[in-house]
Amino acid sequence: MTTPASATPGFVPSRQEAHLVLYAVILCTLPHFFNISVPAILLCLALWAYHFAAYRWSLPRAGLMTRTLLGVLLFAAAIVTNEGLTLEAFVSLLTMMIALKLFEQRHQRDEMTVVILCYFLIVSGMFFDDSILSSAYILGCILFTTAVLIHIQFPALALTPALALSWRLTSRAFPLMLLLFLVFPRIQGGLWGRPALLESNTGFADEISFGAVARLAVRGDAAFRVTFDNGFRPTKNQLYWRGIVLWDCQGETWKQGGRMRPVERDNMDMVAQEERRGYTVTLEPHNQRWLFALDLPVRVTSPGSRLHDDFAIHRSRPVTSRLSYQGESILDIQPVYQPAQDDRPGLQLPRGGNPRARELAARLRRTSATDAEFVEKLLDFYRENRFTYSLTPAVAPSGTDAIDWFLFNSRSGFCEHFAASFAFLMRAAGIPARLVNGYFGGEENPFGGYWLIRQSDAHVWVEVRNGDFWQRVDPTLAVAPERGLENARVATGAEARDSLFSQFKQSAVGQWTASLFNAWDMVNSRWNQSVMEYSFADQFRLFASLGIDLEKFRGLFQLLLIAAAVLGTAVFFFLALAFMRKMPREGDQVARAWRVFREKLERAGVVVLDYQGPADLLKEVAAARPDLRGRAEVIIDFYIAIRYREQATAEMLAAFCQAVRNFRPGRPGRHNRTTEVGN
Amino acid sequence: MTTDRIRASRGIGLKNRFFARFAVPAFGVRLLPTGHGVVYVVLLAALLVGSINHNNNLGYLLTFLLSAVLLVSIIFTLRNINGFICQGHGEAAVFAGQALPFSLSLQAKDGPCYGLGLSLDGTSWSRVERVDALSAACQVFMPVNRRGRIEMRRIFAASAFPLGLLRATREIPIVLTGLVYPKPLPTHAGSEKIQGEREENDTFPLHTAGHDFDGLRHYRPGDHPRRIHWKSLAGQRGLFAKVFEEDEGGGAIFSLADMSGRSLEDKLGELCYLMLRADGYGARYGLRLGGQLIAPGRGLSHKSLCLRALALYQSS
Repeated sequence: MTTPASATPGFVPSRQEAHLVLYAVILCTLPHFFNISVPAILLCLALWAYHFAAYRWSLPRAGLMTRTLLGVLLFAAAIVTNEGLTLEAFVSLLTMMIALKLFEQRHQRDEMTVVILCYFLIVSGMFFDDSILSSAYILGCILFTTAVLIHIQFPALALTPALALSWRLTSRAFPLMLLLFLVFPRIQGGLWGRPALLESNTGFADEISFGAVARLAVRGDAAFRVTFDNGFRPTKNQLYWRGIVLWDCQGETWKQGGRMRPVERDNMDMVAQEERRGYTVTLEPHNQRWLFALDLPVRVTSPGSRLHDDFAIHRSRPVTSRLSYQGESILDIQPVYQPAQDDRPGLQLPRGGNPRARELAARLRRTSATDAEFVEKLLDFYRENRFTYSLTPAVAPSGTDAIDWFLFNSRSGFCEHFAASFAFLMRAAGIPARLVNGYFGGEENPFGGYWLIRQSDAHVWVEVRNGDFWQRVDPTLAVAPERGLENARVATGAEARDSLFSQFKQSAVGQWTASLFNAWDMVNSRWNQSVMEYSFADQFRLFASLGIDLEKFRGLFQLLLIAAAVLGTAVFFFLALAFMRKMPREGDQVARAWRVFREKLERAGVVVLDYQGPADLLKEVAAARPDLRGRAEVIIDFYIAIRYREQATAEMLAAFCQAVRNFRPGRPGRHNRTTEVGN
Repeated sequence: MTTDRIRASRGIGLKNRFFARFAVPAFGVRLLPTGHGVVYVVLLAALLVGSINHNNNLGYLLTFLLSAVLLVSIIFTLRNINGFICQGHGEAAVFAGQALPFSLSLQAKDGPCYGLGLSLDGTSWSRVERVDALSAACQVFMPVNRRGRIEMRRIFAASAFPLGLLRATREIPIVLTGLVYPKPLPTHAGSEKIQGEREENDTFPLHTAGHDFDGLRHYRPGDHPRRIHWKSLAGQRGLFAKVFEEDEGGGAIFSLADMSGRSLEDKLGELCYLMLRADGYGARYGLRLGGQLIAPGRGLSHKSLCLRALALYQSS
């Protein structure tokens, strides 16, 4: 009971407390297991296991030397396994350092440090996943961590009451949080370049390669969601979502190429306003520098993005967080053939390789009168030669020409193979062609009125020169028409799981779960739209609805808001203090005035005790503040007269209250507050 | 001297002096962040910068939640620090150079209060884990170096409840009185002899309190351990005390004037030493302090009478 509070010598955390801290660490680390590398996960698990074992069998704790060495090793491991200083490296470093810090628990402050670092760890989960579920999980972790923080410092409060207190703290913090969230100024574009998340997280690549596995196509995650203006509902085969355009053919690999020219505005503005379809895209982060829009986009409103002359939308920075933008497209028209003078980019091919394909292209070209006929013949070639659609095609043996092998040996592949080989044949026949990488399809959510486009909708198609235009040709549909109705995952039907899934989808239970899924996706989407994408524009609207027109001080706006946020916080701070003021107890006018008088005296440095009567109080005043004696005596005499001599008249009451109000004792002077009667 | 000490205790260390500028002077409560509180705020700032940079709304939400939790916890902190009453009782007494133990009783006004630190000087803190509606006892210590009567008018209460990130300190008016006896100083100075005193090798009888052995009687609680007849205990005959024929007239009187110390304090310390030695032997002793004479006697009440006289001599 009588140990000093500041330092607790010989502090030995009880096993229960140590376990609680460890639980908090584990809870806060778990969601990061999706983000950090496998070695980092294994290291964490090993350290935790050692801690558990150490609590059980009192194993030796690591000394300073061991800890330092381990720390350096873990640092190196975090950097090496995460390809440099990425956000993942930072998180895995944090998790491992916390696991290491657990060795150092000789003082209560060490445990506290660990718990506070836990806050940091769990909140940094925001960089990776901000769905409702993970937000709820993070909130739960904050509650638990707070309870542990309370419990380890105040063991008199058991864990359950500590949890209750943590909930009370958090729930009271919610309104303030909401206020700060709504008014805190959003700075567009961030402060500096964002460290990109690792690409393994996304998958949409800027090149197409024959040997690659269709890892993207089997993933069911959302790629983006689209809401059309005015209730427009496109048909299934209009849902070509344009991404990037690949020009540069290097045999089995297609790349973007160096062409970066903005679109000519004149061509665009000619199109009548009515034919434009407006929509809003909410794009999940994919770490690439382009956006998606419905074929054929004419306008995209997003800061830092540009429409190129191949109708790909490029962005100055990679999309590292969820992004909303408006687009306008014209359906069922073809892009104008550009570059008009120069055919070379559309015809570029590697010098050698794939002789059989080139020979096939030459043969078919000779027998067809027009370009259009050639295209038809080539599509027939795919149809008639029993090409099959598969997400797991056999990979060409090394050393062979991949396109030849695909066209004449395996004859099995997915959109990338069909489109890339088709474009190759086109170019080989002297017809300009290019690849478009994007998404095809989408699922309408009946609850939310928006379209969900998944990663498994990823698609590649070809654009071929047709006179003055680029015409879209989709060789995949020639082989697998069902791809037009279902996305890639379902369309293959090769895997038993997938076919079972499609059967399941037809059943009544399947219908029901599908609608359940739709509802859940709608909730997530609403969460994203209303909370996660709350932006400067929303703030603008919010203030507009409150009658504050921010247009007037657009330049000053952010500065003002920052000032307001700081001021609001300060005001809350003092309001919180004001709430603490003792609520005046019941009492009449005299009692109230008397209490005010005593409080004033107390502030003036007079010791006012509850049991003191008025006469004793006067003695106290005389002893502590002789300068106040005269003025205090008047008030005290009034009080005695009113209370004890029953001489209370209205005038006396008024005079007493007035005297108390006018009583200004000033600050305590240079006299002793504590008196030590020494020599 | 006390003012100096209080002032010193207010401004301990550079950190406290720095933060004292930002202390909230409302209602007699000062609110300062603890070391971990500073870490927490730095962490919040880092999260805010991260959220701004990534334009991450979940980051904003969580950062503001944690900030709001910190602000809301102030309410709980203040409620905790203001939520109890504190009363002192009894008079503490101790020798100079030791720490005066004051007894306090704490009582919660509404709900329980947790993790309270109490201190008189602002440096050494006594901790009470929990204070309920029933009063809890606690001792606070005040190191003292000077003889005399001490009266404390204020006590500091501090608590970092609930998160340990902010520490509230409050001064509570209280009246605590204590007595500080002079610090005993070893000396060889002698004593006045009173009539009936026999000349012996030593100034004090070593084995007997009175003079003549009178027999044995059954031990009664409170008998001096020196009077226990250990032989009979060793012979398994039970616990007996030796009875002596009391010599009420005998005893030594220690006089301030006889002390060899240079200052008054040294002389009083020597007197204290002699007096305590006499008490330890169970001898009768008295004091002469200037014109004041305390007649020889023995026992606990006599001892405390003498010590009090030493403590208060020329001190007020």
